[in-house]
This record gives sequence, structure tokens and C-alpha cells, in this order.
Amino acid sequence: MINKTQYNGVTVLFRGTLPTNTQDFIQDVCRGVKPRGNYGSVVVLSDNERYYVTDHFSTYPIWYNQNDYDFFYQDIAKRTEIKTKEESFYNERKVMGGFTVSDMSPFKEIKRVPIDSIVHVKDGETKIIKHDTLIDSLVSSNGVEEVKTNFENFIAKNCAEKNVLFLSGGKDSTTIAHVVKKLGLANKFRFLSLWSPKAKQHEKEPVSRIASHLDIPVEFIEVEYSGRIFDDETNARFFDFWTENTYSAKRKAIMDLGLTDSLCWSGEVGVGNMQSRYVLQYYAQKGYQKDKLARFSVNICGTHRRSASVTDHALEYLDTPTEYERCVNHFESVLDNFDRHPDVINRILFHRLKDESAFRVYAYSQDDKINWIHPFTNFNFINSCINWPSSIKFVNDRDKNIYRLLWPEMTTIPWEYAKSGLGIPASSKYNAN
Amino acid sequence: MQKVDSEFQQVANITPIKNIVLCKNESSAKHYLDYIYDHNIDVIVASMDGVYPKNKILKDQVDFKLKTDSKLNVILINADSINELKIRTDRILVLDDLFLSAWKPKPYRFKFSPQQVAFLISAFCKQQSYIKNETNVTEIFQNQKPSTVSDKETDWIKGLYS
Repeated sequence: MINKTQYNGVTVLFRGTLPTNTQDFIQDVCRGVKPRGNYGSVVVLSDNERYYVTDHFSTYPIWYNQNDYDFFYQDIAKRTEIKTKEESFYNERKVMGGFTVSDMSPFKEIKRVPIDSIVHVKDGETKIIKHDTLIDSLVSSNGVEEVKTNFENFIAKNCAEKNVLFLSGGKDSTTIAHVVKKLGLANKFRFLSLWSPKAKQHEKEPVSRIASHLDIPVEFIEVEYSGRIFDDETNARFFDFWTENTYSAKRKAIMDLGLTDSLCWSGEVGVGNMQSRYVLQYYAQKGYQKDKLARFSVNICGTHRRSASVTDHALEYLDTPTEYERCVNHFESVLDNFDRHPDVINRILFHRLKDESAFRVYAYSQDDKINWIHPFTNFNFINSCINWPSSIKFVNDRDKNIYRLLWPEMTTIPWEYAKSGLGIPASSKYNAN
Repeated sequence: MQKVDSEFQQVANITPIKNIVLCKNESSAKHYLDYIYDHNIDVIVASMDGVYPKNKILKDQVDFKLKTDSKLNVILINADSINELKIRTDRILVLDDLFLSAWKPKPYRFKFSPQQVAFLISAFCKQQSYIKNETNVTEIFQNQKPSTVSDKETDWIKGLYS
């Protein structure tokens, strides 16, 4: 899954798709221009000079230390001399943690290339150039037809001979299914839907209705519990139990059905709305306050996920106040950078999109057994979703209206059901029953 | 600035309303916004005298929701507020008795901080999610108490989830 190309003695290693030809890509990167697309890339100029390049969601992350780099964290970690010998290499969740490597970790010399960045390493010196390619200084004038065609072309171009799409009954996966059907590609897909007999409610009804509407066959895969469901080897490589149950449950289904030779499509990221109700309510009542929004962005995720506070009250319960403030400063910086965009509502809606999306696709990115693709991370699509006027994004209290705008003929069934998430109980670390 | 003002009004058109804190008057609503709101921003604060929300479009949306939405969560501060109002939903949390218990020196009193009130309201608004979805709450009480908040005063709760 790691590709290699060369031009004029320069080697380019990459995952995903390079947005331009090798020569232009190398020239852009060396000039500090970050090509827009979906990829992670290492440009090797010599033994002493390299560039590491990540896309807008770090869809294909890159880790590096003084002399080494890798697309897979566990591989570079294996090659790292651990200074704290008493730490268990594989099973210490706080060490392996994933996504980023904390300064408190014995592996702290491993750095992750920041999202949407170019890192230039030359003669032992490291220079990080952060970009912000998603938000523009103007409201987008991209046409609806243009974006729709681009997205459909993306799906047609990437469609493999064997594909898998998980249907959740939600708007994102239904939209992909709709486009797949529209393009006449449905015969190349297996449509799967996960459900649990242990759950209080499940998505069988909306999924069945959607499949019937689209006239596609759907297979319901029974998963009693999600969570610690990898094979022993994978569990050992990652964590005691997995933190992203949607991903792990999907992965188990793929492995159980022997579909690892298929390209697996996810609806991750969607049109980019995340916890929009909270920030819209705050803005409507207290106005645009960057410091408060920045604190909310930290409180709503991570340690204090779903704490809808805009205060620093969380600090009373944390033993890492420096880290907390660093995160708040990060989001304040993002909001400062977003000042250039004229639509205030877009600023508040999308200022944490980059970090949240990178987290969502992270688990998929480290899977070296299954080839995953996230069509909504397509740059043209998500860039348009963000920069189109906020007024078109919500209609009659219904979100994700962009899908209806692009494909008005699409079924409205997903909008009839409240968002419920994957209705599969998490496996207990202690008692799976 | 004009553009921002316009957006500030227009945001109400796209703001989903699921939870409303209803106060009797302007000063009560302002007090809520000043002391409690920032600890849980997932509510709209309204006053029965019509002053809050100050965003005119949002105020109209609140009025409409109160009259029509049967799934709305309403948190009531001062039950006298709704003497004249017909509210469509049955999902109402009246805080007056809890606040009275905090105010009066008597047994079984709560000593609420603004943060705790915000959390109580948040828990009330999340009830449907707990009813409909899996929570793993038994496993959490039996096995996952974070050491940083372990204390004898709360260990008794575990028995309720045995």
C-alpha cells in the first residue's frame, strides 16, 4: 500500500494518490507549496534531506524521529530504542495511545507530522511548515454541478473490482450508496450492515428501507459486541481494547467474511458538521467569542468528551494543565487563522474539523490488512462543503442539507431517523457478557 | 460589523433547539447566562417576559418549539413562569424544589454549584439517549472507576449496579 515513484534522482514514497505528476509534485513541495489532494508522502532528495507531506486530514499519517520515518506508527515504534525499559511495549495503552505521541511517552522522540503540513529535514535540522488548505478567504463559488461531477468521478475512478460499503442507515453512507447505484457500479459492491441482537435498538429498519429504495442487496452482519474484537496479534499490536468501535466492528466483519481483497468504503467525515448544535446555540446567544469556542473544542473531545462547557473547569480534574492549555491555544490559533474567512458561522462550524477528522480516519490509516477509502475526505468535496455559504447547509432544522442540494433525487429516509450511532454495545474489558 | 450582526440574527434560522431553560424574567435569565450557561452550552435560555433570547429570530423559534415540539426538553426555573403558557412537551424538569432544598437549612439538602446545576440539566437532556442506547453502565460502576476520583463517599453507588 506504499507506492514509489522517482524523478531526476528524487524518490517519492506515498500512500493515497499524488495530485500531480511526480516532477510537479517535487517542485511544489520543495518550494513550500503543498499540493491539494488525498495523500501522505515522503520526498527523499538525499540521505540528509527529506520532506514529509500530509494532506488536510492527515489521511495517511507519517511519523519520524531524528533518523527514521514510517507511515505506520507501530513499525517505527518497533525500531525505536525504548529508554524506559520497564514500560510494556505493546500493551501499555497510555504509551501506544495512538494518533499523537505525548511528550510524557517513552516514545516521545517519535513525532507525528502535523496535519496539513510539510516537514523539511535537512542535515539534522527540522523545519515544520503548517498549512491551512481547507478554509479559504472567500466564500466558495464552486458550482453544485461541478462539485457533484467531481465527487462522482472520484468514486468511479477509485471503484475497484471488489468493493464493500457499510450501510448504517445514516445520511453519509446512504449518499455513497446512492451515487454508486446512480453510476451503475452496484454490481461491484457488497453492501453490509452491522447490527447487534444485544442492542436496545438497531438500524435494520432504515437500512432495509434504504436498500429497498435503491434496489440493492444488503447483508446484515450480526456483531454481538464491539470493542476488543481483533485477533490476538492485532490486539497485541494496538491496545487492550479499541477506542473506535465503529472501525473495529467493521474490521471484524471484513475479516470474518474474508473480504480483505475488497476496497472498503467508509462515510467518515461526511459534509464536515460536528457538534454543530452546540456552537450554533452559543453563537446565537453569546456572540462570537474565540476563547470560549477554543475551550469548548477541547472540552467536547478527549478526556472530557461531551462536556459541553466553554470554561476551564475541566482543569480541576486534570493533572496535565499544560497539555490542556496547549490544546486551547491550538484552537485559538486555528480560529485566528479562520478570521480570513468572511462567513462567521462557517468559522465556528469547522474550526475543529481538521483535528476531529484526522482522529476519525486515524484508525483506518494504520490498518495494513485492509484497504480503506473515505470519499468525503476528497479535497474538492470537503473544501466546498466548508466554504459554501452557511445559509445553504441547514434547512428546516435538518442538517447535512448539502447532500440534498447535490442529489435532490436521493431518498429522504435517513432524515426521518434521529442519529443513533452504531447500535452495538461496547465489549467490556472485564466481562464481555 | 453589519455583516456579523446579520449573521448573528440569521444563525437562529439554522440553530437546532432541543433543550430550553425557561426562567421567569429577564434578570433570572441573565443570571443563568452569567453563572451557569457556560458550563453547559447545549441549551437555549428564554425568559417568560419575552426579553430572552435577545436574538429576535431565535426568540420566535423558541416560542414555536414550546408550543409544538413534543420531544423538547424544558428545564423550568420558577414554576410560576408557565402559569399562562401551554407547553407541548411532557419532558419538563422543575428545579425549584431542588433549589429550595439548597436554600433552606434542612436535612437532605443539595449544595449546588453552577457547574453541578449545569451537569444536572445535561443529564436530564441526555435521558433519551440512555433509554435508547447501550451505556455499559454496569461495567463502568463495577470495574472502571477512575482512581483520581475514588473516595469512600461515593463507593456506595456501586451497589445499585451490582
